Amino acid sequence: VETPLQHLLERELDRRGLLRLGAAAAVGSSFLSACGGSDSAGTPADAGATGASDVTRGGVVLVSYSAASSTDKLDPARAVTGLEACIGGMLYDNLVRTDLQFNIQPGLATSWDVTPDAKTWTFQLRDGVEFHNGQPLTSQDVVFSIARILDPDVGSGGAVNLAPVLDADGIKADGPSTVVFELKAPHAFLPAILAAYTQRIIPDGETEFKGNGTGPFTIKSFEAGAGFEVARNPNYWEEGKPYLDGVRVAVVLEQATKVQSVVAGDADLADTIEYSAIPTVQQASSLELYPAPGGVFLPLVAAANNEPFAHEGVRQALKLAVDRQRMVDVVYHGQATVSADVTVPPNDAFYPSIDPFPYDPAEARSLLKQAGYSNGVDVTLYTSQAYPGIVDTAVAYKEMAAEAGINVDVQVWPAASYWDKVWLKKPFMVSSWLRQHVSVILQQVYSQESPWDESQFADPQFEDLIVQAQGSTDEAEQKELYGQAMQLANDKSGEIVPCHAAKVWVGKDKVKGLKLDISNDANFHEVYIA
Amino acid sequence: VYGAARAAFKLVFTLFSISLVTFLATNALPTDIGRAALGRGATPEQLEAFREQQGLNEPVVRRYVTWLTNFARGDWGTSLVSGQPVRLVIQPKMERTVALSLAGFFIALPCSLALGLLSARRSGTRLDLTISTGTLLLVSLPEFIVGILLILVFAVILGWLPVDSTALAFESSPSAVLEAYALPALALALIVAPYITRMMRANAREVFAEPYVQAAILRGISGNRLTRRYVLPNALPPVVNGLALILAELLSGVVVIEYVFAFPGAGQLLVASVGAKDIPTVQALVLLFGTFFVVLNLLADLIVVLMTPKLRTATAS
Repeated sequence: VETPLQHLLERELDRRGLLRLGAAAAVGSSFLSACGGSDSAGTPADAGATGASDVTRGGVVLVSYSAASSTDKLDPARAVTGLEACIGGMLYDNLVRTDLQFNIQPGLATSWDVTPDAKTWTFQLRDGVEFHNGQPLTSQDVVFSIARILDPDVGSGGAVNLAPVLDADGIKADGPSTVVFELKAPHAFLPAILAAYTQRIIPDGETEFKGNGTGPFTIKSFEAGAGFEVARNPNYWEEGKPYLDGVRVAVVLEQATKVQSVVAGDADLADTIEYSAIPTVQQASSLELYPAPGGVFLPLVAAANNEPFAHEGVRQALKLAVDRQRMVDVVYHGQATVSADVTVPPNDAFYPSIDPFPYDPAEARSLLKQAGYSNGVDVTLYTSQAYPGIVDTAVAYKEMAAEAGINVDVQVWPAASYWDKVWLKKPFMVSSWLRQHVSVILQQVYSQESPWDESQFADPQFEDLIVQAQGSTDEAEQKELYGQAMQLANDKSGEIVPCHAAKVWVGKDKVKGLKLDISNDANFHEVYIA
Repeated sequence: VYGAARAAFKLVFTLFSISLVTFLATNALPTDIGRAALGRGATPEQLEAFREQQGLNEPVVRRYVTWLTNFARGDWGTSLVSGQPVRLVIQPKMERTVALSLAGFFIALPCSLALGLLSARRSGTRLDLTISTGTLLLVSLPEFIVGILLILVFAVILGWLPVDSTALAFESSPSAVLEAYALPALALALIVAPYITRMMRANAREVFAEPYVQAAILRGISGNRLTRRYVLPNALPPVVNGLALILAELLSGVVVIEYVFAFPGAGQLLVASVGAKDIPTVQALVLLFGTFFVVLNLLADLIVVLMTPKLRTATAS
């Protein structure tokens, strides 16, 4: 039974959802056209709606952050938490930048080029960039930084996407301001990989890791598990930015305290809040939500190497047994978009034109019957407090699936060992993934080559398609190939993606220009106080 | 001398036991330190390389002995997850925690002693009943709730004090530092005060009923003089003894309270380190907390001896 409030919420979100999709389509994916060697040499195009005229300079923004750990560090290659990604973006730069739609913009590189076989990439570095200690940026710094990420002893999470196509000796400096990457295998999306939060540029030979980068802010203080403070870098290469004098980030692990700190006005911003806190925040009139649509998805994963999920019909029945819109309303309080069963969100340029499975319990029952389960199936679904929304997803699914003759027994596992003992081990569980580039997220979730093919998809045709797509430099062809691959995944895999959710920050409405993205969690270089 | 030696032996033995239990318990955790260090996206090969590199494949006994001898020498190890020396991570936070605990304790102590005495003197009156009910209510509230209620009243509704104590992590003005300590210290005081009050009340009531106090009253001694000269000296020693037990309450309270107030101290660090599977930090913190507890217990025993003439002479002989 829906309350009038839910109705209102839904209508409002439908409208917003449409706007969002419209905007995404308008931006389009100009992936390769943006980097086809054209010299977009100036500052990155300011895509924001904020004209430079109405920007106020100065001021310090206070942030309460809970995606943090007592083990946070200033070594960007080893960044794991949201706070490490965020401070990395303040202190350091990447060769290129990306927004949530994977539109690639110049960073420390002003232009780049790729050979038609997608195997040799050449990056031209920006002139006159200095590290915070005054040392000039050269190609040698880039070579060192990226080679270090590939060093197994460093243990960088960034190696996962890079190592399959690149060896350390494939990175070469060609003069002081040109870097060449000679790949082992074709990769048409290398810039998207190099925009990640682990791929920052540090000075050649760096061993100290006290925050000496080229980024928009310089470090003032840093205490792991407590907080940090940064100040404006007056010599930043991007003319006139950042606007703020500084940012002060305090670690507040307890979610309720974090939300209260913004409600009471002690902090200006709070990082990703739990979806269940959204109604509380919406009551406070001076607060605003900063959603990053499609920032995360929580799939229900049925591993195809286990009974009863080995039957394609059972896997489809599972997909027909989820009421996707209801999931969006109940679990995410509207901060999600209904999706087909694919791992890229509807606002991604590569999102295929596939209709999501409808909620059809009757059809699900008949599929189960055909597969030999005329009395329905009993399944155990594992879940945990390991990530916001995972438990709610499982509980909501239990209710919906009961209609289809799928009896779900929900088991809540301790958060501390969920990823070690349940993920990739139990046949039916709720997983969580952050937004990644299509080339990465399809390979990681579905490919047999990946250590994390949680649904045990193992489809040779799919594998062929994604390898072909990654080797193609033609945008239309990439879309076609990825579209076919995702159609297969949608129809056949045990990866059930009811919706793609927003990562939601919250803050005072006077804070403007905050952009949530993939490289920095949140990006502060264009933030100002109105 | 014999007593001192025995106490010292007990101290060392207790600490040794704590270290052993801590080490074994943290090693039995069903978590993969490698995954914590390298992130969820680490490959099985990376995880194995990490275990080898960090010596995690060595036998438990050898790792325990190495850890303990290093710890005793002041080398508390390196966080496997962040690569930072554990001691550097703990020190500033432990200093704040000690300051917070002392503040909470010394706010609670005089107030609850006074309330307990008052309650005993006015035994059976409405005041006594109010104090008894109030303390009972506080004791039964979970520590977490006490903290949240204080935040709600003083920070959100009244807006007098900050919601969290994160100002301590930065260079802040003295007044901001005081404000950051105020609410968590008050919460801590509220957590331990009921115990002390009730203990004081019970002891003082007993002493009030003693024949020598009754005799003093008959001799016409009353009011403050009676309390100060006759009741307090006899009612206090058992309370001091009991304070040692209250320390356990204080230590567990500080972990919860720091977490609620985002107080950048050792308690919050403990919670965070467990979450981050940062085993060396957890081990060092538990051992430190254990040491505090044991040493303060010993100290309480010592004070009781000094306060009680009978025991004082007994030890001397």
